[in-house]
This record gives sequence, structure tokens and C-alpha cells, in this order.
Amino acid sequence: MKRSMQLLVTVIMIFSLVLAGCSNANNSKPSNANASSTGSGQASSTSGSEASGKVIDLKYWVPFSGSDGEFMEDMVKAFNESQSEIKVEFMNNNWDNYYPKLLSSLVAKSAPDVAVAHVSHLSELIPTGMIEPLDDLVADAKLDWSTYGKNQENSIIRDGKHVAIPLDTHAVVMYYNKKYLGDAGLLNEDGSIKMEPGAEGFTQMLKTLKEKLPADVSPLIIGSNNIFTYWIWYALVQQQGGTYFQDGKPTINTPEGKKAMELIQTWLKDGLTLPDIGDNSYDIFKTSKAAVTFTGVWATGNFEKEASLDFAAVPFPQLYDQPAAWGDSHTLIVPKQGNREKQVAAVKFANWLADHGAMWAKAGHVPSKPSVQDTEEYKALPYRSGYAAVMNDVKYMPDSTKLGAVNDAVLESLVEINYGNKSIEDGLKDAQNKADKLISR
Amino acid sequence: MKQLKSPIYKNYLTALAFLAPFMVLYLWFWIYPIIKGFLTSLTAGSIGAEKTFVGLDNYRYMLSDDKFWSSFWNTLYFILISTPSIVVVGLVMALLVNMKLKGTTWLRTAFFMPYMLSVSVLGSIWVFILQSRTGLIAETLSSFGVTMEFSFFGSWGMGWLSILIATLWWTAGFNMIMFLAGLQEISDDLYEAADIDGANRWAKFRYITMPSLKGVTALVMMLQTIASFKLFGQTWLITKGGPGTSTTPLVHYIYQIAFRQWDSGYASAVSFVLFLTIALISLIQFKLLMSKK
Repeated sequence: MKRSMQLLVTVIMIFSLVLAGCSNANNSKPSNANASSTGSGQASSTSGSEASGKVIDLKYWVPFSGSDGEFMEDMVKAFNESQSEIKVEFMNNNWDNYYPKLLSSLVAKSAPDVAVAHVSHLSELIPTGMIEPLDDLVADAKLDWSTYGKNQENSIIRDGKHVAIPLDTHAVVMYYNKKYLGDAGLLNEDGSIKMEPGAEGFTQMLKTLKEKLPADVSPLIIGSNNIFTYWIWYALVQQQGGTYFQDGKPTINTPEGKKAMELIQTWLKDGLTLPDIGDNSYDIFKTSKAAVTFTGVWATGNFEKEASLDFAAVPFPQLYDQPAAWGDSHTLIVPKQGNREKQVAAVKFANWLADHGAMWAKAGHVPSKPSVQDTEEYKALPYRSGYAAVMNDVKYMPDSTKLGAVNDAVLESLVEINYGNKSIEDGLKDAQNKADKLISR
Repeated sequence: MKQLKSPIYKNYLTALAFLAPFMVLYLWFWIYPIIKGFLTSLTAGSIGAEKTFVGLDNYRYMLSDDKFWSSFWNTLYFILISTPSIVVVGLVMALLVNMKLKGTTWLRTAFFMPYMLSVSVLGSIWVFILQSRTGLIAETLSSFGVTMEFSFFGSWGMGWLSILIATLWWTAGFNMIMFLAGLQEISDDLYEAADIDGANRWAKFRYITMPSLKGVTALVMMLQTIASFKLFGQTWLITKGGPGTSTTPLVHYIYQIAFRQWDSGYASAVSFVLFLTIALISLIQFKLLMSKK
């Protein structure tokens, strides 16, 4: 009997040990386990930190597993050195599974104090109810919305409230090889491309290039089997005044959508661009195997490393009625938590990052504050100012929790069209059906 | 009554105490997620938002979901092409290594090395080799003045061929080790006896080696089938499931449902169907394996 009691005790102890792991604070109020409490909740905050001189620690997550990670790390270092009130702890995450991770952390109330999120992903994060609207915090953090680009500010307003702080705009823009275009007599005095307006003018320019270029150099290079196809198609539809979503319903199979695909098909069929190109589109332009490319502004840092490449970067060309480009923004979100002091500090930090957009522009992105573009530091950077104007042309994607899924479905069909496995009509019809089905669920 | 009961109780308690550390973890990390997954499959609502109970709606929707069926057939197709080829390649590698020629150690290492790579490295390597224009094959051909006219990722057939080649290169080494173990179990006496009877090499292979490897072959086939059901990394990284959905297998689709559509209910339902399918096929294979013995 005694022995069995001992055994029972052992078993209970093992159970309690294992169970201890999940005895988290079950606050009914949304608060953050990760953002540990230093102050006493809602107590007034702005003056507190200066008086006591204590340091506010902020946990900061970013998805910059690409080359822009180093630039952000430098910025965090510079911020920490610039003042002594706030200390930011930087954590870089793998881009591939960033949103599943961020979303679960929000649901589990263990989110960081401040995190980067794309404008296009905000609508996935907001249903958690854990994204703090910033309008009560900005006054204390001395953030002035009028210093941000209008297009960028509008992109982060949901139900009349600001839900994030824009850090940059990154868009698909046009890069061209100045040597090839100059040799073909296609450059103006100021270095811009000499071409007639509109889609015909652009296509004609490519045809001229094809005649004059060496056989192994493609006039245009685009990611014809990857996401760039979608981004370019999206821009061309927007330039015709077309829609992607209307009243919450996807509008894929439209005359504008068809016309955009027909243009890309013309380039492919006339040998002006190459089929079956993926992420190697960067390398093909970088090694001077193509004269023109449509690619993301983040490629600037990559291209400028190649000494033999003489290139220019300009906004996405206007081929139809109005200027438009595909683009997205990195923004900073402030998850809900009990400690208002930390939230104010997070907004201050985000605003500092936007103010120092010239540092971030080294990665290629366009700063979210127009005033940054006038700074000496920004002007000193090569190429960047050439495409900064794109921040006004960017047509942000519609706000939907299903946006990513619909984009995937549309991309699948567009790539099938590019490979010639499907006609434009059938491909767009398929895409429309898939998108409707996704939205109806 | 009392006398009978107490020693049995004691026995159970002792057993329980020893089993508890394992059982707790097992129940927690294996059994509980399966049950929780099933319960989730009966709900609707995006991840992070409120869930509502919808009964078997997700399963009903699955029946009419074209992409579910296409990814289901894609998965079965991959099993059909990958299992026989991996068995043959693994066996040939094992036979080569077992011939005890010069450089065998080097060969064995070379065959096994790829298996130690992570799937992301495997993906980068094969994209680098196969991609058009800048890929290893395309560049090599163009240096001989030949343009690669076909695309490794551009069609259903070529897409699967690329995935198959990459998978073979990656995992055949592991199966080689299994076959090698099987080959070394075969007693030399049998071969000596066959020599005395004047059997040729083919006869020895056909009547001694092959029957002796039956058990290993069955095991390799079962493991390969289960592994092929879980195909994900290769398609995600090499063909991105395309063109269209032609190289999208089930697990790939489940990931898309869960983390692109944020539909945890439907993702769980498809996962559960995958779980039942694997369980069923493993059971059939196991039965066949047992009955042969």
C-alpha cells in the first residue's frame, strides 16, 4: 500500500511538471506575454520614462531574410545609439513562414511589441483583434500623419482608423541597360528612353532593340513563370482603369485583363521577351543578357554591385490611359498589450525609422515620407531618386483576407497562359472561377 | 476478491508509473493533435478569427473541389512513378557498391551524400541545374551552340520528371543502405553452392539474391509510399506546384489552404483524409507483407 502511494505521488509529480509548462497567465484582457509588463498598465506614460530614466525594451520582428535584413539591423543599431530611453531588440525572421508565425503569435497573445507587416497582409492580421489602432497613441509619440505620403497614409486606414505606420513603398519599376539602348539610338539627351507613347510605342522600341542587339541578348526580360507576371499584369490592368476587386468581388476576366495578357503574349510570341523565366530574371539583366527589365525596386542593391552594368531605373512606364504600378508597403504594426508606455515607444521607434528612410533606401525601397527625398543623404544615393515618383502611382491591392489566395490562383492561370498551355480566354475564365470560389468560402 | 485484486492493481500502477513519462508526451503531441485536428475539420472561419461549427460541410466541399482531386491524383501519380524507380535505382546502387570493386567506399559515400542535404538545399541545386537560359544544363548546351528548346518546368510531364529526378538523387542513397544491409545478410554459402552447380551470374541473382531481398524490398516500398504521400518541399521549391496546378500534391495544397487561404477547418479536413488514406494503404501493404511471409 505504501509503495503504491509513493508511485501515485511520483505520477502526480510528473504530470504537474509537464503541465507547468502551459500555466501561462490567462488574462481576459488582450495582453502580451512576450511584451512583459514594466509599468502598471494604463497609467499615464509620456512623462514617466524621462523622470525615472528607466529603459523601455521593445521586441521587434521583421521578415527580411533577404539582403535588406542587414540594412534594417544597422538602422536598429543607430536608433539604439541615438537615444537612451528605448532599447529595441531586433529579430529577423524567415520570409517564407513569417505571416503564419506572426499571426499565431497574435492569436496566442505572445506577439512582439512592434513588427513589420506588408499593407497587403494587414487584412489577414486585423481579424485577430490584436492590432492596436494608433490614433490615440500618435499624439503622445509626436507622430504627424501629414509628413507621410498621402497614397501611403491612405493605404493603412481601415474603418477610418490608422492601423499601421508606413515605412516604405516597394514597386515594380523599369530598369534599362544604358549601353544597349544608347547603341541602338534609343536614348534621349537626358538619358531617358526615346519611344512613342503607349503600348505600341513601347513594343516598337523593343522591336528596334531586337534588330540591333546581339542574338543572345533579349530586348526585355520578365519573370514569365513567376509572381512578376502577376504584378505586371496587375499594373497593366490598373493603367487601363480596370479593377481587380469590385465591391468585394474579384474581377479577373475583364476586357482590361484580356488586353493586358494580349500585350504580354505579343512580347513572348515576337521573341521580345523569353518564356520560362523565373528568379533568374535578375541574373539575366545583371549579366547584360537583356536590355530592359520590369522588376522590384529591391533589385537596385543587387544590380549596382555589378560594375560592368551601366543602368538606369525609372517608374513603371505608362502604356495605357493613366500611370499605375503594382506596389506594396512595409509598415509597422503595434500589437495590443496592457503596457501603453511600450506602445507609445513603439510608435516613436516606427516614426524614427520613417524619418531615417534614407538609410532604408539603401535596400532599394522608396521612403514613405516625401521630405526624406529632399535630404542630402537620399540624393547622394544613386538610382533611387530615378524611380521615387512611383510612390504616387502605386495602386495598392484591394483589402481582403483572401487576397493572397486569390493572387495565387490568378498567378497559376497567368503562368499557364504564358507557357501556351491555355488560351487567354480560358485562362482568365479559370482564374475568375477559382477566385469566385475562394471568396465565397 | 480483495486478495485477487490488489496485486494486479499494484502491477498496473507500476507499469503506469514507468509508462507515464512517455505516454504523457505521446498523448499530448501525437494523439491530442489528431483529435484536435479532426474537431477543427468540423469548423469554419479563418485562422485568428471566430470559428463556427459546420459539421461535415468541409468534407462535402472537398468532394466538389477540383483542386483537391487534382492534387490527390497528382500525389497518387507521384507514388506510382517514384516507388518503382527508387526501388530499382536503390537496388542497382547497392549491387554496384556490393561488388567490392576499387573505389567502393568512395562510391558508397557519393551515393549517400545527397540524403544528408536539407530539402531547401536540394531545391536550390536542382533549380540551378534545370532552369532555362541560366541553368547548368542550358548553359552547357549553349556553349556547344545548342539552344535548349524544352522547359523542365513548363508542362505537366516535364514538371513531374524534374521532381522525380531530384527526389531520386536525394533519397535513393538511403534505400541503397537498406538494400546493402539486405545483401550482406545473404549467406555466401548459397552463392558457393550455386557456383558448384554451375549457375551463371543471372541465375544467381534471379534465384538467390532477389528472393532473399523480398523483405527489404517490401519495407523500402512501404517507406517510399508513405514518404511520397508527404511530398511537399520539392514541388514547393522547384516547380512551385506549376504550371497551373499540375505538380501540386496534397500536402502542398494543404499548406496553401492553411497559410494562404487561412482556412484551418478545410485544411484539417483535407489533412484528415490524407491521414486516413496513408493509414489504409499502409494497412494493405502490411497485410500483404505479412501474408507473404
